[in-house]
Amino acid sequence: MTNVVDWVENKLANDHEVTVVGRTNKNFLVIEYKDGYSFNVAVIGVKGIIEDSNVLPLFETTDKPQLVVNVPSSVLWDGFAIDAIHSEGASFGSFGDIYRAARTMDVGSFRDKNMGFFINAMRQHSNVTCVSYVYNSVFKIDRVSGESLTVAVIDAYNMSAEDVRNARTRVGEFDIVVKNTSYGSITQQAEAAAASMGAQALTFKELMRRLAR
Amino acid sequence: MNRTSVIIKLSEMACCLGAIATGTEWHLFGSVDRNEPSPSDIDLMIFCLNDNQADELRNAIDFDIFEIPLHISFFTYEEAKSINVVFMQNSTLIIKPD
Repeated sequence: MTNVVDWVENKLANDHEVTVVGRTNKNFLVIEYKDGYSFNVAVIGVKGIIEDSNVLPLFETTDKPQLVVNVPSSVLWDGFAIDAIHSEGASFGSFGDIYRAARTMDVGSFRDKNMGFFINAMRQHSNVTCVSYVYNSVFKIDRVSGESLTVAVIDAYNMSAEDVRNARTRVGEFDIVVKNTSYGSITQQAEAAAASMGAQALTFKELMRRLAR
Repeated sequence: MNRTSVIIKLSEMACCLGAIATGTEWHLFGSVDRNEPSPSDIDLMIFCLNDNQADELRNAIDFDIFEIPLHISFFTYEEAKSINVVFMQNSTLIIKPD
């Protein structure tokens, strides 16, 4: 995957915020942020779905990555891959997350802001016992009362019927599809599309109420 | 990357799509439409004649042609009108393929 590593290094070459200062013996980029803070970034080039077999070898070294980045960004990270990365104290994301993670000054603990919000909110729900990743934007919610639910979070200010169909195509079956922002709206056609799949299209507030039932 | 260069590239894309894109409207909104410096992504809405056209366009469009992420929301005209999304997003009609 040297080509994607080079691509990221070249993209960062003239950047003033972060600097690539070298590579590890596993070809991870060593990136320096301000005040001498540095971290290792493993760049992979998986298309489709990133599985744990794609990421586990990255940690078979003493000089481990704190961030795993995939190019291109439009992929799904499988739940097992995410768990493997998190269990190593690392984080995952896309090219743009190099900056976002660096700014936290604790790259291994970096989490996508929107997903982090959803995960925390669902975990703190009184009827929820466990939230686990199915994919990076799909979660299995185990509840005290009621069956487990699969929730797909989509990046849409206004949810359309096509958003719902596309989510189904990308991630498979789900019980609930929810927008990642409290603003905007859901079209009636989106609600109908979800219903035709035996699912529900909900806002964040509606999701919180649904988790209780 | 500025608003003009984005519109030129999107226009080329619309042209390459040919008949699939006929009858659609492409609306730009957000930071690129406001021509802000260093936008983090490109926000576009495409209004379609029907569901099939929306699905076909999703499959046909190359989302990786820009250096920054391209976010596209597909609506049928009926959906877009029902939530008055042009007003809500303060979007600008930039392309209307024949």
